[in-house]
Amino acid sequence: MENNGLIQIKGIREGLLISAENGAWDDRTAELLIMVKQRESFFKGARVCLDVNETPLRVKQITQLRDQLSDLDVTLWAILSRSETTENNARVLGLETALPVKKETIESKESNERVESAAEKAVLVNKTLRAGYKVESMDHVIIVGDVNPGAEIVSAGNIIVWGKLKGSAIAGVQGNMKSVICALELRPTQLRIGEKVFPPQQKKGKTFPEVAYIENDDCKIELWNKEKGR
Amino acid sequence: MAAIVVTITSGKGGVGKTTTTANLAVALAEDGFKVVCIDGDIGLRNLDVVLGLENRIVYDLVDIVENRCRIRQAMIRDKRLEELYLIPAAQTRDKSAISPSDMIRVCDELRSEVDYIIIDSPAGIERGFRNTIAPADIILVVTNPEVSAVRDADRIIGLVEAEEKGPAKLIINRVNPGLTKRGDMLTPEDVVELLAIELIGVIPDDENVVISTNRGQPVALDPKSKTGQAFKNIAKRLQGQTVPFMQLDDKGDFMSKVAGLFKQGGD
Repeated sequence: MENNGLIQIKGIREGLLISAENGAWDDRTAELLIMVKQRESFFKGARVCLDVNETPLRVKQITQLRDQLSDLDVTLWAILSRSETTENNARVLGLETALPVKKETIESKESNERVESAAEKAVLVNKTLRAGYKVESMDHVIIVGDVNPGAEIVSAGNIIVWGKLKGSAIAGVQGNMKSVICALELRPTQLRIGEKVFPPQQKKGKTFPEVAYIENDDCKIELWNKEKGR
Repeated sequence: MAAIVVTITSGKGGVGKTTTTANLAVALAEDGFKVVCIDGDIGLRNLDVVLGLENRIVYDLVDIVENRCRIRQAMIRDKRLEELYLIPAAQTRDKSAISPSDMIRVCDELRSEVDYIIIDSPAGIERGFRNTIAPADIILVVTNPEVSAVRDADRIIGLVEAEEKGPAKLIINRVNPGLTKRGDMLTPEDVVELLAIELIGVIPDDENVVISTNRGQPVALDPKSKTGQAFKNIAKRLQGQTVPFMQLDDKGDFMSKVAGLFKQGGD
């Protein structure tokens, strides 16, 4: 069997960290599977975290690899990636996307660099977010669809939901208190802008598009009004 | 024959997956189809109890996967219905004893011999769930009109979509017309509105289900049972027939509203 050096393995506290950062995805998985088969006794029962660097992976690609590994009695529990697509897809499948210790260092490093650029880009999610789904972005987040209870949006900028917001939404997560959250129907489980948690509200009957924001350190929710020019 | 693999799942435990599996299998077998049910809950088997076949288990699903027997040997034929079989789960093993590709292999081998393969999924979203989802052609999500069950159903529907197995279809179990009318329970309409998937059945809350479950006699075997009829209607809808939703409440008309709501929403 040839080994193209696409795969590197090292032991970490949480199990094995496998780096497969470059090369065609099919080549990488093939090499990984061969490697696991060759050293069956070493890998048997292992918990594996895969670092794919910038590779954008589709859900199908992740599930396929996860199931192939699972056949060899290897558990894929986390995928590390710089691609937001990969991170979100991995999260949908209930996989971790960061190592417990490493996470904080990444976040604190990024927080200094990226606050300024937070107002420029947006992530568009064109579907309903169901329970357990989390969208996390340093940019604005736009959802075209509903956000169901149990789903969560975390953004460093604004959050706009073209649908019903019934899950949790955290805008301005890195301290941008000018961030707003708006939805066609605002019935969130929890609403936060920066560190400010909005008091829970009871709503009955028909609701209208609303916007939530912070003014003079107070949590405000108002009917959407285009004249405000927000 | 090319079998259709139907997986019954829910996320939350105790909402009636196993009861639904047993009754749906009975209803399909009564319609003249050859049906195999597979208990996917390795380690916590109970489909055999609900079907009343507990004392006839020799081989199980793990025996098939580990080549200790042929599929035929593990298929227990039902006493009451000629064309109904059960492949039980192993009691002494756990979910990791089989893998998603094992399930696909077993189902592929059965496909040419039967009309329907009905798989009972364990609660949860881990290995056992993935095992039972992998071979499925149709996924039925069972939920109760309770906030916690609906939340879990929503999560499951999302996972099913993520595995590109969707769209799942919905069964709402244990609907109590009295409670819903007083506004003390979510109505089927509320549930359908939140989950936004096709509704394929509404099962009334019925204490006879408990009795029949304990006796190992699924309610679908009882021609007089309204609940049994509700399961038979699901079987008919699975076959592609259009069956109107049952009136659970004598006066109420919410079932027709549910049907109406769904027609507007799904196209």
